[in-house]
Amino acid sequence: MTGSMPDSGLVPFLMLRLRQARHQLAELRGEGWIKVVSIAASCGFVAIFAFAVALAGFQFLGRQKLPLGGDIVGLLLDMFFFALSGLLVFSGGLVLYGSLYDSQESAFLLSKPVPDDRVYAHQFIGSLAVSSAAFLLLALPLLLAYGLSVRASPLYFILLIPCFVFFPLAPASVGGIICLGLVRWIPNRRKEALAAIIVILVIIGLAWLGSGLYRLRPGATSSDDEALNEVLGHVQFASAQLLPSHWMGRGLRHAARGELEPALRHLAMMASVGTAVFCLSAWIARRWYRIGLDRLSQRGRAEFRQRFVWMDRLPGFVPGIGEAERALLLKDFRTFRRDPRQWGQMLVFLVLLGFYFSSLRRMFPGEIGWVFRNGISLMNLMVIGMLLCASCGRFIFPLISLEGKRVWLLGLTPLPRSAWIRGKMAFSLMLCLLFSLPLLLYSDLSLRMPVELIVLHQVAAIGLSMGLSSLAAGLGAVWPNFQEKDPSKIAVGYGGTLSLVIGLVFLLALVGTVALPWHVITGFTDKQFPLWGWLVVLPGLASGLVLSFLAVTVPIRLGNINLDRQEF
Amino acid sequence: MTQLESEIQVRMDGVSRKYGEHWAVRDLSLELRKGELFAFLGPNGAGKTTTIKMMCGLLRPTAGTITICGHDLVADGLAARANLSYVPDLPFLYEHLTGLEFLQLVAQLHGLAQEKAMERISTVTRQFELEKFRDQITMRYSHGMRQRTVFAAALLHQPKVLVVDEPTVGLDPRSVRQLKDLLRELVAEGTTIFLSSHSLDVVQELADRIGIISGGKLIGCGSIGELSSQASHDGPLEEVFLKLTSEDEPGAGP
Repeated sequence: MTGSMPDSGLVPFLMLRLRQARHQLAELRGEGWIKVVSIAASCGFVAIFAFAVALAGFQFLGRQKLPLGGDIVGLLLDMFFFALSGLLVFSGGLVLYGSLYDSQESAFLLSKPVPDDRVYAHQFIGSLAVSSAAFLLLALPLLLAYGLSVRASPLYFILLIPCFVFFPLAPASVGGIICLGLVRWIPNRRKEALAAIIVILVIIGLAWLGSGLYRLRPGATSSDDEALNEVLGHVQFASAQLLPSHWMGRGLRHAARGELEPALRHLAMMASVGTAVFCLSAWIARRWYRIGLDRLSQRGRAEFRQRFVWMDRLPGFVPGIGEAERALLLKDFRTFRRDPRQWGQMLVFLVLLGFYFSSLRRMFPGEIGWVFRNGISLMNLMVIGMLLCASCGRFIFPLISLEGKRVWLLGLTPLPRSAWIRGKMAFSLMLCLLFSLPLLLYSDLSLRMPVELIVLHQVAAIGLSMGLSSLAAGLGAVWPNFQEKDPSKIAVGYGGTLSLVIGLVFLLALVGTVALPWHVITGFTDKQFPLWGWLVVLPGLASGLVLSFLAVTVPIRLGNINLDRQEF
Repeated sequence: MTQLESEIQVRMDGVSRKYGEHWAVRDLSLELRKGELFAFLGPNGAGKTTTIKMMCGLLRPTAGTITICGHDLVADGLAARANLSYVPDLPFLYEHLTGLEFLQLVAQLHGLAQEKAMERISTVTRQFELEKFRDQITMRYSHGMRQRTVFAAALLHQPKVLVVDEPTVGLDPRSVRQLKDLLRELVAEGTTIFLSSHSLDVVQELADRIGIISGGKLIGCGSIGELSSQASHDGPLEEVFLKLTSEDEPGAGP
């Protein structure tokens, strides 16, 4: 019987996915309706939040007499899809790396008489689902809000479904090709190569931003219209005719106007290029995957040498934790710093945000009205808060789950399990404070905001850092997933999603109590903060402190209880 | 091709494998015949797992060739792997599939026709006594249940070569007995078995030939009697193994 060459195509893999999904759903049902309802409610909350923000944004543009079906909004859509493509290249490649080169499943499949490109395709579909989950949850509400704002034809809403299937194909496949290429050609230096790619992207981004700022330097433009044209001209690359992200935006705008032929033409081009790039990546996988896996295992054993790194001293400055927790903190910090996959995305966001804040002062040298400055300052606080929330969910929430694999070590130390959570919380707090306080200070100084608001914002950032860190670390222990070893998959699972939603609610509540009253009062009183305003701001500040206290204590308490009950 | 030639199911010819500057396996040449149980012994880090991974096509030799039933593992990997099955030391199962669904998946991956697959699945289900739990999600299986399911899956397509890595780890005495009986039956049916193990009693009881690898080199190969002669020591396998491997250690006496 042996010796036959099996050729059952992708059928076994598709059946495998369907069966796994069926059993996972059955298990979910078996665990009670609370879990099902909470998952649906969490996803619904994120989607409704994104929808409300997008709808408010489109209504704002409408009030500024900006034609929503026109070229400017079209350019914004192109920019949006271009940015999403970039993120999908990055996240698709990273998730796929774990699935292809660091999973027992791939080793099992590669020992079977199955062509390598089919194993690749199977893992590609899985990683695509993980990496585009956030895309679906955020982009769908935005596009629905756009459709409703422009009163789009039904064609638009019908075409959204195939768009969401085909759009991620091309960027995720490019990420797959980069991943296969890095492992095939520079397996021993792939982390450095990834870091180099990040640095190159940051440099390109900086050069692009720098040239934009130069064009908008004081005196270079004579009117707001001219400045706007300069800005639009600077982002015009996103509308390049050969970009699939542009075809997506263009096709959807045609669909919104009910123009069937051009809509289908653009979307068909996007879908066919996506499919073609995927086929190319599978063809490359057939040639490079097994060779790459082989070369990856050829790494020298004594290659890594411990060196003194000044950053490793940072955990020593964290107050209020014992020596054992400090050791855990140092271990987490070292793991984090040695893995560019962890900090790469954060660095890109950090640099882009830094330049965005620095551009505020240059772009609007004093002429910008107080209401706008006030609004931008609040928006910047929200942006930083959302980045903290997303980063804690992605990097901190999975940490306790990942310790489950090493429980034989930690579990046998004379360290209470509560110290595991405190260690993760301290690690997160350290990074959050390092990230948020200077950025927010820079933003407020760039906008020339008053001292009392700068203090309020700093207090809010400390509260957010503490609360979001505790929520991620504590809830990571409440809903751990000891089966999974890929942190990105843990982060997008049930507990991760629920934790993200709770973090967002906390963010809204804290900003709403600590900072919003000041912004609203000064928004109406044209910068002058009245004395009676403190009657609103101070209780808000007190409420924010209580909220922060609860966000720090409750999840850690719940996490401790669950972790103490946990059997490994 | 002579009859002896056609009986060779696994051939390793000058196989070497390098990790960085370190040679994990050096110039390994072996021939395993049809219906032979070859046991592979060696201290930790001697190169056993690397050799197994190369036999399964998960790693490529830095030098030399490996053929399974006449098919080169690098040039003709699909055909070579179609004749082979591998039971790893840490059994892999899809956590969200039932045992039966896992068997069906493996049958599909090996391209078994549906009717044949059904027949083989019921045979191995009976053989490994999986009836009671084959419809349960494998996430809830004990180590023994997992091991039996993995063995059943490995034998579904009746491979000509079976590579087994540490099969007795974590098994109770009854399961170990059943495993030994199974390996004997398979050998009697003509399956070639490459068994890597630290359980010297199992090896002594089952193996037709034993290969001892140390520092990446095959330092001894033959029946227990031949190994005893080589070690100039007439004792149980454990003592022969220790003598041969200690002689090979750097700094060991003449």
